Amino acid sequence: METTETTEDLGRRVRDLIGRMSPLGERTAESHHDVMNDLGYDSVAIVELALVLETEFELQPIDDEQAFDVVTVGDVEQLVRRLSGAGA
Amino acid sequence: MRLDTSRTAVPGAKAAVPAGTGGWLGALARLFTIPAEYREEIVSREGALEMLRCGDGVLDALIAAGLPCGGPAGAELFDRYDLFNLSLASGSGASVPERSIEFALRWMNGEPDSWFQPLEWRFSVELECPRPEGCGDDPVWRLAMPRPEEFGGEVLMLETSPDDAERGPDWITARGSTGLGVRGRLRTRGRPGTLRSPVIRRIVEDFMAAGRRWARMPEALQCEDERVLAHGVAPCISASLHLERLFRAAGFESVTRRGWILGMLDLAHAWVEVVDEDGVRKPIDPIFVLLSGYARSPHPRFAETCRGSRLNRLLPTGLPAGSLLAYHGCGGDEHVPTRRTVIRRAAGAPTS
Repeated sequence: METTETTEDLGRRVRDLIGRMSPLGERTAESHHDVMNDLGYDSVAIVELALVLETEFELQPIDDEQAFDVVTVGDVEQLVRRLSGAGA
Repeated sequence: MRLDTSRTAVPGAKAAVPAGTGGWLGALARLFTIPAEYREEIVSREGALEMLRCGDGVLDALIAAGLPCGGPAGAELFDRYDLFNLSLASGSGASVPERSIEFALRWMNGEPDSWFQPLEWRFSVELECPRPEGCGDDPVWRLAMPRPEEFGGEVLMLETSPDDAERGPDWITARGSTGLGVRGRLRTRGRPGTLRSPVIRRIVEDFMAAGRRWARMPEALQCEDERVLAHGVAPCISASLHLERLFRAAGFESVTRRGWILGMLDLAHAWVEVVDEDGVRKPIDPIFVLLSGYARSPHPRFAETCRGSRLNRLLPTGLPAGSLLAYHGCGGDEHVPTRRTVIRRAAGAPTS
């Protein structure tokens, strides 16, 4: 249960961050949202998001292959969980 | 861009000498400012602070020290290339250009094999008219045709909107007010190579030994290569044109080429190719060597690889270095179209 709660908390923090950084202005980000089409991120904004995620969650550097795989907010949550060792 | 307010001073507060000012002032002292005839002072003070992330106090110190700008005090307007080049030279580690370039070049940190393996990419490009009053009469649109086959790759699929856009060897051309959209899938490949001719090697080494630094600037200014290089800066078009001339003067067949660096960011690029004494046409990319200085830990073999190898991150066109990659004409004028580009690695890549 403790792992599940930690994972959920991590996902919530990631969603909050993505919502606050949306190029369309601060808004609620849901796991099913498409980062580019629903939240207005372009390539530059995704790079910026990746850099902030690294700092905020103390991650190993995210390479662009991992960033390419990001389509939805849920994909970002999974990436952060994987890189932070919090499990899938 | 929006979160890091801790690095931004309270508006109006003017510290005597804000921390970190020295690095910025040193960068300003070395800055090649964009000449008057090429300047576009359209970036607001707020935009500059978002890009530089230096805080109001440092920006005021830069203005006082001579950073060129227009507009009244407190509402200054800046040239975007000046701001970009200043940021990159600042060493702050916080500015948007420094962080974006560092991210975009992380592939340079990888093992050499990763620069040559086949990679599949999906891409889409949409061109729109930049005129605020709307597109004028007789609109025409051109986007450079991607030619991955020049480096051993291939176009796997290409679609245009409108469907009837003309596809030539160098350009995709459309007419009409709806703009031009191009999407497709392609495969790039690299191939390791080594320069054999001592003459070619010496020309490249002499160029690198001059200690120039990379800078961004308008393409038309880059084409004045001798003027630009004399100021100690080396954008890709200037470097390519200069080296092409030196190779030809030394008796080697040489051409420049325009293309893109494939990755999260849409980076236009140019390089020079020379036919070595073994008869093989080899790319030479001294700018990649300069750029690798902004990657956090480039592989030690990367610099040598840029002298004669084809890299899978480069997407060639058939155009020479001075060409635009996208063009729009309407109302009797020529414009650089606004462009929205999305590049993704295709599922299942890399392939073998």
